[in-house]
Amino acid sequence: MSDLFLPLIIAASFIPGIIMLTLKIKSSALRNTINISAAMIKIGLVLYALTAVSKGAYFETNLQVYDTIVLSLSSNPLSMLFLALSSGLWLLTTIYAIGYFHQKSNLNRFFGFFNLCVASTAGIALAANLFTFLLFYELLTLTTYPLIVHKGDEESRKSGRTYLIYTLFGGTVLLLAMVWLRSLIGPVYFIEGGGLNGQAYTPIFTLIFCLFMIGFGVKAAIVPLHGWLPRAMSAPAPVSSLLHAVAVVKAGAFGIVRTIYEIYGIKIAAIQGLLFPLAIISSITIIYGSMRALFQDDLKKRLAYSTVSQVSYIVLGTAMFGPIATLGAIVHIVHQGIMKITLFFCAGIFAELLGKKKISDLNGVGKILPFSSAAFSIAAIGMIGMPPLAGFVSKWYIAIGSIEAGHPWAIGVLIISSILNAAYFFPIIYRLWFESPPEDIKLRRSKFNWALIAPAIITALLTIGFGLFAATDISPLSWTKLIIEREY
Amino acid sequence: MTITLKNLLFGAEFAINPFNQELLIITAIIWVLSFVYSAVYIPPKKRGSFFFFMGLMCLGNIGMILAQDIPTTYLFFGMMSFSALGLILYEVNPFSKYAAKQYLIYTMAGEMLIFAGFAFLHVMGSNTLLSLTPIMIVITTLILLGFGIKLGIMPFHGWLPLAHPAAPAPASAVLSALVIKTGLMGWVKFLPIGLIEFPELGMILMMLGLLTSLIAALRGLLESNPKAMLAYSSVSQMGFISLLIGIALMVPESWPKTWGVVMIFVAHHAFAKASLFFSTGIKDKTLFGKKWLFSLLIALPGLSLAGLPLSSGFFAKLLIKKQASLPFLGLGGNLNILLTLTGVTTALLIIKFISVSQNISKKEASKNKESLIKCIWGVSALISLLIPLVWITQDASLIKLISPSTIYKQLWPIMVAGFIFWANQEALTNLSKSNRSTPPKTTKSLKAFQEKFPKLKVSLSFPSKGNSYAQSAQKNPEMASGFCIGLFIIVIFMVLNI
Repeated sequence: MSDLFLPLIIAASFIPGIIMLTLKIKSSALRNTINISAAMIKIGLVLYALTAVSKGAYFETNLQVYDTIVLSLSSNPLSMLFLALSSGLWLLTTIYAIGYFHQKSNLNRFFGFFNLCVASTAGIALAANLFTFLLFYELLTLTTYPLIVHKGDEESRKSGRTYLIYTLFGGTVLLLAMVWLRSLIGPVYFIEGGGLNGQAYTPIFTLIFCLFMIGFGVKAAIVPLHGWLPRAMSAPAPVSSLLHAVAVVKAGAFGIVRTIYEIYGIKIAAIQGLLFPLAIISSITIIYGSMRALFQDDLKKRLAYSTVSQVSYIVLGTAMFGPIATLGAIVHIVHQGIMKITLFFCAGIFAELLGKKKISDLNGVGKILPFSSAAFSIAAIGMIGMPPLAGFVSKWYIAIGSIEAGHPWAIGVLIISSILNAAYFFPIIYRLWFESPPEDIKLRRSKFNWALIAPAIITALLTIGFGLFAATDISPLSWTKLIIEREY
Repeated sequence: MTITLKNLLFGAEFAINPFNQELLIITAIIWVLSFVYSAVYIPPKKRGSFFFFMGLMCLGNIGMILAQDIPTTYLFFGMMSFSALGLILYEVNPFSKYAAKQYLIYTMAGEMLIFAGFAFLHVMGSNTLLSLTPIMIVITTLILLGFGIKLGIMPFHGWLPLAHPAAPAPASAVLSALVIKTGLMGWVKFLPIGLIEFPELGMILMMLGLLTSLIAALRGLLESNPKAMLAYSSVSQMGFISLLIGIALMVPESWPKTWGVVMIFVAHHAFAKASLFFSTGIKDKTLFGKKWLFSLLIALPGLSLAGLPLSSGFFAKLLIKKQASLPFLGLGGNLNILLTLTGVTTALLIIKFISVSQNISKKEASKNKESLIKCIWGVSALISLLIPLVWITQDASLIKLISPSTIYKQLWPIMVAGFIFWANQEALTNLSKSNRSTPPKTTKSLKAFQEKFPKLKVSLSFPSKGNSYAQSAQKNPEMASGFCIGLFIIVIFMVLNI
């Protein structure tokens, strides 16, 4: 049974995806049922796996493709963290998407690729070797493209094209890096503590490391490879939510974490002095992203640049070479995910129910849509890093980790970024709650669209819960501590 | 008593100990008074958002006092600081927006300084602070500055005169009486006060404190809004706390005693200020139908801030003077001259406050029931007046402070102030009037706000930065001359008395 368990988790979203794409389901009720139940099944499986892994169980699946090329899945704690995040947010985004796409066409196509996208994210999470990882990584690129161009207008096709150019470039670089590394040391498996034991002292490994960083840096939107992300904003809101919170950017960040910790091994990578330049680049990205966000009037664009900035917190913490900073970085994968998805859910609600896409139009929305505005405010304050919200936990650990690792300058980066975050989030919160709404403001649809609003409320509550109860055994922080124990 | 909540944040620890128990009692009493006051004062339409922010601020305030570990303190401190934003924006108008923006800038700066300081402190451990190393100086500076912003020590006081007038009366009362004192709590909890000798920093703090208490009171005279005056008075009074902490840093052995003085001063200031802010929310300026009774009940707590004999301020100021003239401080009576001078300026500010707060009333005859508001105000004023009795029962030696010579020493600054005010009454009130009738020199952002929102025609009766003393003095030549005469008299008194 345990041999089939991990593929089953992937199949839980892969099969419904294929069903959606092949059988043209006419009834939306049937389609929704399939989607929701698939998501629920997956969450059930993941919860089972989480409890089993926390008790010390280990799942593994190997499928020989050809000779030494093996499709390999395994369940280490880092995989489970990413898997749990993606499957949990998948359910919420599915519910949200059902509420969002109200009488719109091509929903089979949308949900089909949507499910495939999540299946590939699960594959990325569970991959045990580089080959499997890259396979699902490329699958992710291909399945997100139809989602980005879903609207089908000129703008989304253009942004889809940009997305493909960027990510295929990144994919090619990664392929090159993988093949090169493989030719040097044979099949590359992810091993806790690093697989390149003592081998990685030649300059070639440094070069390959740079290639990996460039390849993953595209999806993680590290400056100057971030250009696709703000442009991908023409995608519908559920797509942006998933893109920003879990699927694409996180896949890139996750790849960086895995390369540093489980291919190279933190000690080897640090010896080679590779991490310091990475820390500098991620710091630049953090500040650059926040600066650009400050000048966007389009709400989704501002959030997009905020993502550019926030994802680099993960890279910065990873590059610090210290267990505590890494703890902050990895837990930020989850925390940034839930906060950013809340923000995008709410941006979608404002656009869909009120037709407000610009920040300057958001006056008094809090009086009309109190729940989603409250969720937005909570997530935004969490993003700034104010306690007791989730964002504070990761920021705090990255800060104290950076001191411990001997890089106290990183605190300066965090502080500048927090101030910029406050500068671009507080005006929105102010408009939502303290300005009075214009008289011609009209709801396009019923405001009691719970499928649309409930997911945002749930993620906002999680933002509070993950921060306020960070010390409990089931919090992402405690789980991450388990991961860190194994990596160091 | 210590409570540890393992699952809250990173494992939160709360405790009641000798360092926070007194402040906790003061905090609890003033919050209760303030909530009851608000229940009547705030119109039903606004109650929802007001009590939301007020409740959060209360939680943050009490949590900040109780919390013992670094992240939990930061949590509650942030909660308290940011919820005050909602109270400042109680009425949305160009002024409150400007105030909120300024407040946000100061708060954010403070939060970030504290964040950095706490991060270093957490990693290095509190033992690092016990020796004068570079890292210790960094941590101390960060925490001092971060919490100093909350305390309103000059030059970080800018948010106070903006935030207090913008917030409704009960919110200003807690802001001024309690919230700014959490800055002191932050210092005491995390800095090695009384454990190491750090004379340079102590000297800086003392000088900053003295300058703050002198300048802020004078600056407050230029305001015409009673709440802005009280805000400057708070800034000025917080200078004394900085002074006392400076003394403790210079002479660590004096800390147990100094701490006692700090707590007496905090209690004195909290109740006096709360009652003064409560009075600003009352529209009908009479008590039991009598105007003089109302004035008296403002004047007594008000002048107690200037050290009115037998009031709470009398003991607080005398104890501070005693502490400041510690022989090993090496300052002798020099400090006392300055302290007496602040007594004069504070008294002058309070007298102006009393006269201004009475003038404003008439146009709005009160229609809503104000009896409960007045009752709360009366209670807080009475506590402020009776609190010396509590102190004396606890420490009988305080009674020795009462002697004709101390009474005389404390009384004459107030009388001088009264005389200056009487001699320059016209000038001082003219200053206020000119502020109210002519459009004030607004700062850029205020103007921008006005252009943006032409609908919101709010009379900007709050002088802002452009309205400097020099400009006012130019408009009112008699004002300048009045001050000169006043200063001359002060100098004569000083020569004669000290």
